[in-house]
Amino acid sequence: MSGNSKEYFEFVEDITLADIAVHCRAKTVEKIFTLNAEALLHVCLEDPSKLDKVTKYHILLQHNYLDLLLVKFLNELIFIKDTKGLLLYPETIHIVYSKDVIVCEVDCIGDYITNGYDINVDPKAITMHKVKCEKINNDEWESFIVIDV
Amino acid sequence: MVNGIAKKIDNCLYEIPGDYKKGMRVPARIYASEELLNSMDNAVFEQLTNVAMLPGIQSYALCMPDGHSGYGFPIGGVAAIDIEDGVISPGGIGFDINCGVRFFITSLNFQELSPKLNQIMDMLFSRIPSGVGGKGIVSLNDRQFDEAMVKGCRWAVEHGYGIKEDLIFCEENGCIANAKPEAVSGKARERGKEQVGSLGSGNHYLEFQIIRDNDILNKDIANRFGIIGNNQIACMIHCGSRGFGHQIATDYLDQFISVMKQKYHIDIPDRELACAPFHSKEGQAYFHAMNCAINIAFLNRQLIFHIVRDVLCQVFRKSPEELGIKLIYDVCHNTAKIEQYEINGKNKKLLVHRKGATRAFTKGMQGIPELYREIGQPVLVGGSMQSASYILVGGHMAKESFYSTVHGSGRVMSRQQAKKRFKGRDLANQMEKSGIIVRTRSFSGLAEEAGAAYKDIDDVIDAITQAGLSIPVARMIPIGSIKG
Repeated sequence: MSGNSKEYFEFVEDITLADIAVHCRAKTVEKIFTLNAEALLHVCLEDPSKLDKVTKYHILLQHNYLDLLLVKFLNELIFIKDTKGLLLYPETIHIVYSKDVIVCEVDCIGDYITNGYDINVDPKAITMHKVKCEKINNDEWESFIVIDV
Repeated sequence: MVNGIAKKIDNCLYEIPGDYKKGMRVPARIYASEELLNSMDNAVFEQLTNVAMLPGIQSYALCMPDGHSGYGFPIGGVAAIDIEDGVISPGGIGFDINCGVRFFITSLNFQELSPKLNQIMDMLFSRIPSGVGGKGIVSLNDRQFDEAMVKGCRWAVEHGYGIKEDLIFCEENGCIANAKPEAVSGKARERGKEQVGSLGSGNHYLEFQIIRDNDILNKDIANRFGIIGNNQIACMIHCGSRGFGHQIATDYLDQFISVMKQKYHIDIPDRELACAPFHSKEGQAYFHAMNCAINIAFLNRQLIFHIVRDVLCQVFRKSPEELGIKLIYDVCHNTAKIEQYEINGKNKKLLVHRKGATRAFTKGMQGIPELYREIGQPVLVGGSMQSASYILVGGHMAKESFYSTVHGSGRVMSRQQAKKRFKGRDLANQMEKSGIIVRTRSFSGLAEEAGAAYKDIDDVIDAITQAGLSIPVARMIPIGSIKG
């Protein structure tokens, strides 16, 4: 488990043996997105706290459904890892509900994998298995994803 | 009844009836001993019975004895779906399209290789990219990448990364038909073209093995493959289509979710089983893109094999012929392929989804190399990095499983549990002490792959043998492992 008692992510053991399941709780949907990105970094790196924050990257995405937008966002981070060699942490996230779509705009910061980090495993994709991202009461959000590694 | 769900119907075969869950179109069948069945996590049964709901599924939703929970399909899952009124589901193939195994033997024995093994491992570790991200052995421009998607291993041979004989000993001759690059997104191209010829991470590996006399389990068939024992050196390469396949699966899953219910009125409980009719526009596009990824994975393993062959020749200063290097076979274990079957007296073309399951065509069947026509195609089963691997051929009951069998040991422990229980560096030391040299980019990744996180491979092979799906031919012991 990582984060404070109200806002955290945890790896869940009894969902999938082959892959990695992540459960998050937070006060805002933006924090849910941030915690999931942090969990993804924990999958990639042995010690994500050592990731230097030197290279900036902007992400703009949209989807009709919030849970699938979360999947799309995390898959984008994996895509950037593979194509640019960049591991990223979200600095600011804005999620805006417009007429038919939900838009997610993220300013990320991070560093290149090749700069000597102790790596863990390579995430392939975020699956749609039991995926969830929803408000569960007035000031609490919850998400669930499975990362294929 | 085992687990209160599955009923024993034969030796190492259990069935969950078709009325177990609303929406199941066929029963679910699990090949396993009672012990292996009890070791399977409940999510396997949930996932397998969801698979039984897919439109067009024939006979049974199947799970092999190495089955364990994944996403959508369980790993070790098989579903044969009528292409006329059925669907194609990316979740039945997995993100790592055409993850598979290539296996070659040499005429070297352990005494000859042993003094040079460390040097060979170091050379391979530096020449074969592995780990997170990672560029490949080749860097392809857009035109070359399009060609490679269609040609697979043939592209490698045409560009000096192999010989014609390599093509003979690959499933589909290393080049599957119906690969259409126009079905592949720009993102998949961008992600894939720099990674061709790389091992990846997770459970992917390159492993040197020895074959001892007492591990020859069927002498006649083993000898026909060129396997003679006497501490013979062999090598196994396990990897897939890398980011290219992952991106294709990601792209099409998103598309299928948006059309599955609204356009095609298909209702499946798990979105990871998102699917579209095989003959629909979306279904065909995914099929064509998936075949491109199958070819890129064949090419990937061919390029790695070429480097290994080159390094062995360099170290021993001998030719491949002098070293007796002989490719035995290259098999896929994450694909959906069209195969012909007789179902209730009717000939049908079925799309056989195998996710963590290996095709096992038996003797006399078309689609396997002429040299193996009288014995059946080799089936390559990789164990954990601390246990044996196997070469098998199809058994007398193989048709019952749509000529499918196991692909590995199968996990019994989650990655997180394994990481808590084992320390990567200790594990590497322990492996070296037991005679397995290790090279890895990640010690925590190594911990996740500890042998104890997997089922006992010998139990898995015993179950599949008792079920009549496979005949064990030889058992290989690891002596050197490169992990991504």
